Amino acid sequence: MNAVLGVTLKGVDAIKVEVEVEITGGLFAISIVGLPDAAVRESKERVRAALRTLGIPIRGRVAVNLAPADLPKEGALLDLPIAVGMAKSTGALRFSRPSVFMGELALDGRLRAVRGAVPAAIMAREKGLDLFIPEDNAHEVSLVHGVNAFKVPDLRSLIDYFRGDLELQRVKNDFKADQQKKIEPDFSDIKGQAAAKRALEIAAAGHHNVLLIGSPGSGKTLLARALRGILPPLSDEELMEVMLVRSTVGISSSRGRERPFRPIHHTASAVAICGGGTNLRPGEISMAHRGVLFLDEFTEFRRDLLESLRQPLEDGEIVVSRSAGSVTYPAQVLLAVACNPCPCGWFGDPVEQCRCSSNDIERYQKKLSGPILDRIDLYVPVPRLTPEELLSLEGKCGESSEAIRERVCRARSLQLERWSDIGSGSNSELPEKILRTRLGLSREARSFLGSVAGTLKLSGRGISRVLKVSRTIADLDSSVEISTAHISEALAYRQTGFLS
Amino acid sequence: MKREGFALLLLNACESLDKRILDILKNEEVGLDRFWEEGPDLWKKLPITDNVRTRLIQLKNDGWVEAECERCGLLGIKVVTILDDLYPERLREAPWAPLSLYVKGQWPLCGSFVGVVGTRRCSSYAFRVAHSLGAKLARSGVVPVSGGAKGIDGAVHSGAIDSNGPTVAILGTGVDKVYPRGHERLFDNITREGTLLSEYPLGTGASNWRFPKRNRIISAISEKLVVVEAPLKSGAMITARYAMELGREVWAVPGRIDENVARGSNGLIYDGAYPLVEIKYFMDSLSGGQLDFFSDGNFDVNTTGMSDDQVRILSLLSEKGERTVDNIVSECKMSAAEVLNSLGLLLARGDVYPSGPGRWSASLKSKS
Ligand SMILES: [Zn+2]
Repeated sequence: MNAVLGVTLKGVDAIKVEVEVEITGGLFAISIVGLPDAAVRESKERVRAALRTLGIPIRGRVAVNLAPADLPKEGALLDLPIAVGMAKSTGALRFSRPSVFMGELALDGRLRAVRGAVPAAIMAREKGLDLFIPEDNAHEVSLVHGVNAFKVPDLRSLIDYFRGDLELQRVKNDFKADQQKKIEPDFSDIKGQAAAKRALEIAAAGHHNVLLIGSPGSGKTLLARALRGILPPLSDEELMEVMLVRSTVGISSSRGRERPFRPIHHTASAVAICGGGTNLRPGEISMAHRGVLFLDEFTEFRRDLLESLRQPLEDGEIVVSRSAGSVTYPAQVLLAVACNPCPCGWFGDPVEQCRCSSNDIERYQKKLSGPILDRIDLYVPVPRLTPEELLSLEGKCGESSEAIRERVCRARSLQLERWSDIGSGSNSELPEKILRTRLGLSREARSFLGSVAGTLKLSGRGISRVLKVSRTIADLDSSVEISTAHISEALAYRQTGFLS
Repeated sequence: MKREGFALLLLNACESLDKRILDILKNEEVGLDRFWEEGPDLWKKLPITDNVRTRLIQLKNDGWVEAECERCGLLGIKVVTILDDLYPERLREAPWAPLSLYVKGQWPLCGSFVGVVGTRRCSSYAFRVAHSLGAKLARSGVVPVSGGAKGIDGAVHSGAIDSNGPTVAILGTGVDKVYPRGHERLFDNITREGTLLSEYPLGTGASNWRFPKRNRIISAISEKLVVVEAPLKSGAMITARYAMELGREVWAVPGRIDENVARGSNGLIYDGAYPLVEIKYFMDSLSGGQLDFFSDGNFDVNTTGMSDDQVRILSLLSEKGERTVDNIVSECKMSAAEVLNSLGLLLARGDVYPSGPGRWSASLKSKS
């Protein structure tokens, strides 16, 4: 038996699949065993057609066995190894170096891009295997250092290569992530909103989840979009994680070191958000990995949907279960959530009149609370500026995202250094125990917080959030100690601007 | 409880009877003791409707009065009859005074009573005013009186509770019931320093016709009445009408004139009610002080222990009204971080509050 290697995906990992092909005499038939999905079963037609155009006819009973037998195999990326396996068992080609093949075959033998090339490249590198991939997957694979990968335009070229008649191009390690492309919108493009900008700077610096509250047209979405522009650029490792997810979904284009921003709408399905489905793939929350996940019109989201986001937000990864076992996708996101201040949207607006009773607002507030709100450190009220207010800001240009990002990066590196021993990268992830002991809270700040916790009706959880946020404010200030001023600024971000 | 009390509790349970039945009994020369002792044989001779008579007989045969007293004992609820010393004096004077009151919480309460009423569907502005009024009254040893509904009623009570003062909620249900839903905590808190009060027997549920009747008690029991915000057709306006009939002083908080929600309360001002333009003036009127409107143009701000930044921001908000952080940044020449940490501190002191998303105002408190 001649085993040829292919891959299938489990989560964002590529798993090696051995493709064994046996051809015996008799009436023509192809059978594929080893938990193939519909797309794999269809591959026999594509493979046979492609081989025929190369003048490699397949006759007799063909048994294709995919091992390990208990692993579900999916998608068209096994076309190429099955074709190679068949060609090999007819004796049409041979090769000696251990190699992995991936690609979907067109009927004329050309190779189409597939999802999962980056995970496959990582697997091939680890196991010291040569990797043969469709040309269109070459760009993303160029990110993976140290893999011996070849670009295959079509099946004929591959066969010619093994016969020694043709050279295949190697994938060069020249992945270029454009260093500092300007990210739109820039903070300097947003008029006014000094308080919201400051809050977002804190959110970015300490990786704190935020809730933006404002009337329609106040610019919540714009601010949320600008948020990723002040986050530190992706590190090599993070970039690889992001590319892994993108490759698993089948998006090969690169956006450089820009962090992902994924807005989700309340009408989106649970599968679209969390991942899963018949062609198991990551959802929006994983697409937002290492970036910003944005939930607009938060109060419109179904309760069960929010409930399903809770675990991933806590764990930084999401487990998608299906009949044949479960897979895990990464989901480390900075969560930005936006909502109106009241059911009609105009609460506190200086121009439009709010038509909600205090009763309506109370009910609305209840709707807001729950599993997601519990994970939010900063409330960011966004005023809808009147034309006069906007006019008064004319000519005053705020700071650029780049200037803010520099401060954010400095604060982040302080945190990385301080928390290196507990393996936490940011203030928002601090465990409760650390909060009470190692924050560097000054004596005055401690007694101040104690004295106001009662009047502001802060819960235990509320106090923890104030502490974390004030630690980040102190870091932005390059201050070792948390002062009373840091605490009182953090208190200003626990206000929703609702009735209380 | 004496036989007299039993008789009053029994009569009270026929919801159509009030103080006037006492005159009827007097005319017939029937004392309450005898009324209770002789029962149905005597009742046949009295000029009361058949409905009332049937109801009396049924309750008596069921042993309802004894059972009700036992229930009250178990729940720690007091019964105060119209002949009781503890019965509120002002209410007793009303021609339709209820025969018995059920009281849950602290009773009697010292201090004069001031009714504060308004609509359930109030604006957020009115909610804040009602809350401040409740707090201010309670702090000055005056007992605010209101209903048990959401909106203004709830705001008044929670204001009083927040300043640890007594407050009275007059209910349109039995005092053992919580209506509306969601006011469980509030009612609990009210009974700590203040009281829940109702003329209705235990177990009486909510029904629409009982609430206007309840409003009469609010107006009668109070020395003065404040209508914070009320549309033309509302329970608060019914209360105001009763208060005027009883000769109580009526105050109304001015509201927007482009909104129906304040048309009733604004109309009261037009009809001669005192406009409540400053909580301070209302408080002064309670202590018999002179109404002295234009004495000082500026608000006093208590600035002890504040930094210069905080004083500047608070003065700006007090004098010029609501501001966004952008406004404060440019008018006080401070950075956003400086503005926000000052606001956080002022917020903790209760001197400012967010009056809308991203908009800050000085609290009423600091304006007194
Ligand atoms: Zn509204």
